[in-house]
Amino acid sequence: MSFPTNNHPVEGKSISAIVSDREQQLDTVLRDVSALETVMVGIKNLHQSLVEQRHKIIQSKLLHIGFMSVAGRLPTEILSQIFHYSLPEHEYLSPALKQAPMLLTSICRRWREVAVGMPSLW
Amino acid sequence: MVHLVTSDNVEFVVEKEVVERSVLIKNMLEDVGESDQSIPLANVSSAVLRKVIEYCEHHRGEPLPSGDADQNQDETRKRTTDISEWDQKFITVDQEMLFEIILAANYLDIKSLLDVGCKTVANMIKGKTPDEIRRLFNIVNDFTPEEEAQIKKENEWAEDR
Repeated sequence: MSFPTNNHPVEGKSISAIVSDREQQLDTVLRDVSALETVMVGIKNLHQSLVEQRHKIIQSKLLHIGFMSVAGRLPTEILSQIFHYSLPEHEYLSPALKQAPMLLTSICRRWREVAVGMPSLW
Repeated sequence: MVHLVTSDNVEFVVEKEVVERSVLIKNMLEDVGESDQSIPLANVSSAVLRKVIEYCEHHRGEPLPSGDADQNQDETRKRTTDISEWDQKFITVDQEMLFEIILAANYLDIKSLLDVGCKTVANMIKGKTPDEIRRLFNIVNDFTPEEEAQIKKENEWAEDR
C-alpha cells in the first residue's frame, strides 16, 4: 500500500527537486539582472557626464569663436551706439522682425541682451 | 608738434591742432603742458593711427561736438546715418580695420569718427537677415534650440510685418 505524497515523480525527478532547480535558476537570473542594472546605471551616469561635457565644449568653442569675431569684442557702449543708428530713420516705429530693434534681438545672446537692455531702442 | 608712440612702437609726429581732435590727447596735453615727451598709445597700432590722423587732418579746424549736442540728438531720436562723401570714402576699409578704427576712436575719444564708424556698421546691418548679419560679422548663433523656439514664439505677433 502506498501513501499520498507531494513527491510526484516526473520523468525520474521529484517536483521539489524541480522547484529547487528553478530557485537556483531564478537566483542566477536575478544576479544577472542586478548586475545588468548596475551596468545600466553606470552607462546612464556616463551618458549624463558626456552630455554635460559636450555642452561645456560647445559653450567654450562658441566663446572662443566669439573672441575671433571683432564684432564680438566691441564694448557694450559702442554696440549700443551702432544699434541706435540701426533703427529705421522715420520717427514712429512699427515693430518688424526684419528691422531694428527686433532684428537685433535674434542674432546672438549678447546682441539680444544689449538690445533688450536699451530702453531708447523701443 | 606732438609725439605719439603706437602699440607696435612706431612714433608719429603730429600737429597739435590735428591731434587735439582727440579729447583724450587734448586733455593729456592740457594736463602735462608743453612737452617733447612722447605720448604712448598702447591700444592703437600704427596702421590704425595712420588712418585716424588722416581723418583728423581732413577735419582740422571743425568745431568739436559738445556733450549737450549729443544729448539733444538722443532726445529728438535723430537717427540719420548719412555720411559725407569724404568720410564714406575714408571709411571704406576692410572689416577688421573698420572695427579697429571704431575702437581707436572710442579710446581716443574722437566722437565724430566714432559716429562715422558706428553709422557705417549700422548701414551694413540694415536690410539684412539674421543669418546674413551673422555671416557678415562672423557671429555665432549661440541660442539653444529652446531659446530659439522661445524667441520665435515671442516674436509671432510681429511676424510678416
